[in-house]
Amino acid sequence: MRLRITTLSLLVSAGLCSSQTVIFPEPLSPRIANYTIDVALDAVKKTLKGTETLVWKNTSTDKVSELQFHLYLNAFKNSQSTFMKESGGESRGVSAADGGWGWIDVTSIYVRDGEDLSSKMEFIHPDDDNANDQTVFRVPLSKPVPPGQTITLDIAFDAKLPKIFARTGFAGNYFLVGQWFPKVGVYEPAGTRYATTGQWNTHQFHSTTEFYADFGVYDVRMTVPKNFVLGATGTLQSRVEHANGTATHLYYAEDVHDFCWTASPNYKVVEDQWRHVKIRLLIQPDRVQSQAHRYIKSVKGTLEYFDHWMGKYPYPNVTIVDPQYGGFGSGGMEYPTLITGGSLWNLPEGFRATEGVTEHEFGHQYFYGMLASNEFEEAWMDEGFNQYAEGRIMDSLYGAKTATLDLLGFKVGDLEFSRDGYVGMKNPKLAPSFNKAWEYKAGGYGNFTYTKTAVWMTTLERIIGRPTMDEIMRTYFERWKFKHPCAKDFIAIVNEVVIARHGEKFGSDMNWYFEQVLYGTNTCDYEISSIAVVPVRSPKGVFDREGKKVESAAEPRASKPQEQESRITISRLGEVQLPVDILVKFDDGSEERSDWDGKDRYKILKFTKNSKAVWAKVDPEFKIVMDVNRLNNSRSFDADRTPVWKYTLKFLFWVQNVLATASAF
Amino acid sequence: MNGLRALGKGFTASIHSLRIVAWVYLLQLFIAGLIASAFSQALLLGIGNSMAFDRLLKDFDYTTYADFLRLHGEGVKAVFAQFGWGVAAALALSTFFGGGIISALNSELRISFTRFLELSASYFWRMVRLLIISGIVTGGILFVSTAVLGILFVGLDATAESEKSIALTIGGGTLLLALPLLLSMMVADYARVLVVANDERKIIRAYWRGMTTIFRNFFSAWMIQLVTLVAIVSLILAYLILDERIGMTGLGTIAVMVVVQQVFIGLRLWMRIWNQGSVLALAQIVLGVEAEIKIAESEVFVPTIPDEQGEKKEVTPSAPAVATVTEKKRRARSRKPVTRKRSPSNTRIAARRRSSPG
Repeated sequence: MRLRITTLSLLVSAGLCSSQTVIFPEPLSPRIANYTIDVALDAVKKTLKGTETLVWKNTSTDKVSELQFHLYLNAFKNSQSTFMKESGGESRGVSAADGGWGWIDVTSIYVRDGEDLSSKMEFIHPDDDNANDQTVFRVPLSKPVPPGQTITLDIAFDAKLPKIFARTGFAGNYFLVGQWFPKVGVYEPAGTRYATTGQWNTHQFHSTTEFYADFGVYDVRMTVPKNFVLGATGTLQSRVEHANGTATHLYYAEDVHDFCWTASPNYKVVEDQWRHVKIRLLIQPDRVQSQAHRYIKSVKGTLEYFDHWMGKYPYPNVTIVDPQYGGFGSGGMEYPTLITGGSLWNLPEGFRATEGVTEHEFGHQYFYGMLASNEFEEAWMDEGFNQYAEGRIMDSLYGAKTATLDLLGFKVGDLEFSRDGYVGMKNPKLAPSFNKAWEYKAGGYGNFTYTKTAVWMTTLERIIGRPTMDEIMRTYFERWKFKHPCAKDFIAIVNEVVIARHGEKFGSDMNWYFEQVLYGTNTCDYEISSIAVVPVRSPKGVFDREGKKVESAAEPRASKPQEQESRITISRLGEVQLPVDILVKFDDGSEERSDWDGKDRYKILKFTKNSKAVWAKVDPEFKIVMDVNRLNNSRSFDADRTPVWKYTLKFLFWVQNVLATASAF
Repeated sequence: MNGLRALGKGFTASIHSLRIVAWVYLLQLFIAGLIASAFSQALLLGIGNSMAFDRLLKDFDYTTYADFLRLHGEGVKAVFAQFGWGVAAALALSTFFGGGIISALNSELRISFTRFLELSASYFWRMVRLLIISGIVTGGILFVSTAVLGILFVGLDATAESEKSIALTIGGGTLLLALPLLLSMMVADYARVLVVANDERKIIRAYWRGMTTIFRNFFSAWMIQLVTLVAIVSLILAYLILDERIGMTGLGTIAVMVVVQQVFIGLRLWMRIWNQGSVLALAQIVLGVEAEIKIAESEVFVPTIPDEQGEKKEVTPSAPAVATVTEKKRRARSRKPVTRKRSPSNTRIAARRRSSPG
């Protein structure tokens, strides 16, 4: 419930006087980094001019003697930035346009009622030695910030937006303004994530990294031409038109860790509601008819799923931005309470890009928005978990075989698509999921963080069961929302819940699993190597019986003349060891099920019955989604060739068609 | 109404030429069968004794499909390499048969396969030259079309705020630029008719006359083409509906769909023959060749068509091939009467026989 009361909490104590609508009567987060920003957009020059008041709280037990800031827009300043050098001027399928550079200058920085820090600013390069990179700076403080105290800084900045590239910028009169203001880094007190002593965690902007920031309150005034429709993180508080043809929009957000906004004169606004959540879709005019309902259905379905699965979406609204043509580089991106989608005029319903992108980006409200892991260092925790969620939700909403594509008989599910992304890699052993995002030097960032994680999360779910997995995810959300979790925090919850539900069925903990799939690079491949059936014969040879040598002939056992021994050999071809089930079918219609811990290189199963084994399958229920070869998981004495006929005849038909077409010339 | 008349006559001629359709069908089936057989082997080799393909029977299964392509894609790629040869063979066959088909369409009598091959052979090199000219023109049109569309796209892409305008412009432009391509194919068809029916040896002239014939009989010529296109599109839609309804999910439905597929291919090939028959008929109607010729099986008739100056030239079909010594003997044995009806238009119908193809 939204309450109209005056803020008297943190902001007042920090010296800020604000009269915005309080969203959460009790803060949901520690509210460490709080911003009041006033910015004006020059829509012709594509520039921003702004002032920012930062109230930063030292939640550590250290005296903090310097502050570190991100200046993300400087990634687009020239070809020598770390981002540009790593990306080669290409990101998210878009090339950096010549002349479309973007940058940000801090023109002044003062401690409120105190010293001028402007001359003390120093660019630093904590990740590489690139002296040309200006995406991070530090300022030493004459008076350190004591534990539990706040510091207020007044900052002025000028920025030039790039042509849409890597999420942010402009395309004509379309503006997607992300990573646009001087943003304080995260000071990690000892015990936070992997920090053993208090330290700043402020990484440079890399071509494959996203972000990491502390939660806070944002109070942002944006002045744009008055004919522009504007959308932003948070909720609209007021809109004031000015005589000079501009209008100032005031947006306010609580317990978020970033702020993004968009403006364009072309947007059409479609509004809807899901329970307490107001949905606002800013969509391109030509796409309203064919795509608006698809956006809305997807976001509502996703809200519903997350609500049941993980927990409540606490914010009162969500804004979906449909990027303009030419601005696709800003599509498919997540910011707190604002996401950017991706659609096209009359995109066929069977091509579910609109739905998939919307679902995925909304999922980030949980995995990034509230579970604020470090996207620089552990991208698998937001992208991978979210990809796993996408598989579950998209397959649930649009069909396990059709969630990604359902066109002309060609069908692809979301999980199927993720699996193919991982197992289809040239070298799936190249790197682990657990890796700093900028350290995927040989490529594969997307596959190892997004799809491999989704695949091993699904495998984990199928090994321990969905109810257990759901409890893990709910516990993870409840325990770590509005905090900065890391791998060990998640693994601890897995161990706790699995032991509570299954005892030691899977061992004393599940670390063995994460060692292989998260930290390791090995692949998994189980195979039915052979099936052999031999008749059971009486022992033959010379035997000592009652003091005499008796020779026995090699005849079938008289008592059980039809007994057969079926031998099934199952091999582990990959290095990953996982428990697997084996199902064997016999010619009398009976089935036998066995399990195997999957640790040895091979296992031979023997069945002595009055019937012969006709086929065998390892992992018949396809629990081990990360098995890189599903074709060798089954073997039959007499495989049905009907599917081969089906596809051969289809192929014949299409060849005939091509030949018939060629004959027309 | 010439278009309708031509379609009617073409229809009748195509019905009388069903044997030709069957021959072409069988030859193409043979080529396609070779490729499909290699495809089948690639599938069988890849899948071995695995049961993974079972998941592809009832419905499409992306995981199986993707794993198969990833692990055994090389075998399938090799098949696709053969595919190019198959297309080349089909093109060569259609070029080879071009003269034979038109000759057969011009006859109300049944033509033996041997005769058909002889007729085809006699026109082959002219058909090859025609194909080359047609290819050059079509390639030129494609080049210009692509360049125009590319320039349009680049221009629009830089300024467009919506993909709609680009899609409509490029889509519309593509459709518009498809017309010259279609026209180029039509011109080749009319040129083929002129080469055979008028024993035209100058291929460029035949090509030019083909074009002028189309423009002078604009509505009739396009009517024939559109009717053929509509018929083929309807056929494709019918197939897709049947495929959707029947599917190929078991032996029974696979058998049914195989029949449907082969009927579809047969109808496609027949429609092509119908189209060619209609083109021939239109040429005969508008260029004054209205002869109905009834000749013995072994006889070849080559109606003349007035050239551009309106002169009727005596045709000496070097190509036609025509009766070989063996045929002469056979004809002598059969003593079948030769019936000819000359057209009122004083056109000389030259039914020439030559003992050797020229």
